[in-house]
Amino acid sequence: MNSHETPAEKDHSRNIKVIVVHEDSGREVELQAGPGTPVRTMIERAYSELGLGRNPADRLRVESTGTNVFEHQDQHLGDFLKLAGNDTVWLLAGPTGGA
Amino acid sequence: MPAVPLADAEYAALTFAAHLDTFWASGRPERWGWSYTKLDPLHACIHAAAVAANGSVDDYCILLDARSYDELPPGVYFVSPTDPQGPKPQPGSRWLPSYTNVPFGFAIHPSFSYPDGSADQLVCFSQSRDYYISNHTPLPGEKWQPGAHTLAATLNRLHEILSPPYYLGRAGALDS
Repeated sequence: MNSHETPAEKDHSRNIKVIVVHEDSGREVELQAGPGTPVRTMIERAYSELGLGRNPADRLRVESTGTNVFEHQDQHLGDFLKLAGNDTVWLLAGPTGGA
Repeated sequence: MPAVPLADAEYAALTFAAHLDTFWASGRPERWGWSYTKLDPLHACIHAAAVAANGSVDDYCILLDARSYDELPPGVYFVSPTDPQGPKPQPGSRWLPSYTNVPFGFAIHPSFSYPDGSADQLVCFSQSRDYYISNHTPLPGEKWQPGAHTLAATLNRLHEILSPPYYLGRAGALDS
């Protein structure tokens, strides 16, 4: 930390670790980003690191609350985490058919 | 039980064991209170804890049949824990779960008429083998892809159904 940083600036520069679990394969990726990072960027990085293309029927939700991450992709990560109970584990699932 | 396409038994057993080990090594199923028992190299009983919105917890035994694995997903059956490879639970059994508003295609048919003329339980979703031998057609993206999907997909979907807000409790009180 720069010794001239204010507490708010220090908080802003703090990296947040998000774990994305790909439920279809069981693989997990760890993403680190600052709180000002758009959620959309986190989503794009998750797909990229998992080597997946996005299907419109995919679901990405917060593990503890079920909050739909895709619906908040225009928010900043820090703001979204406050809304979603500060849970940093997200579950990605592809489409499933049946009845 | 309906006739199923068989994978090479040795390959299926090795792949099934490896994928079960990998999934459990993630720590997630243990955190759910789940465990498993291998019945033989191609079958395992998953001891699953289901949690309702009011916090009540019920136990289920889910039989996985890996005879087609992983060309197809594992066969999935909710069974009696005292006789996991015996007769399937009847409608209203305490060994069948009740659920609502599942966010993906899913159904449990206690007795389904298969195209080969047999009747058996069908846990119907595209991460379950018997979906593919019961005249269902997956939409693009839903179809099981060996290598891209593992039994993690199957068990993660089942865990979701057996969790709030979808899990409602046991289907009934019958013990058979």
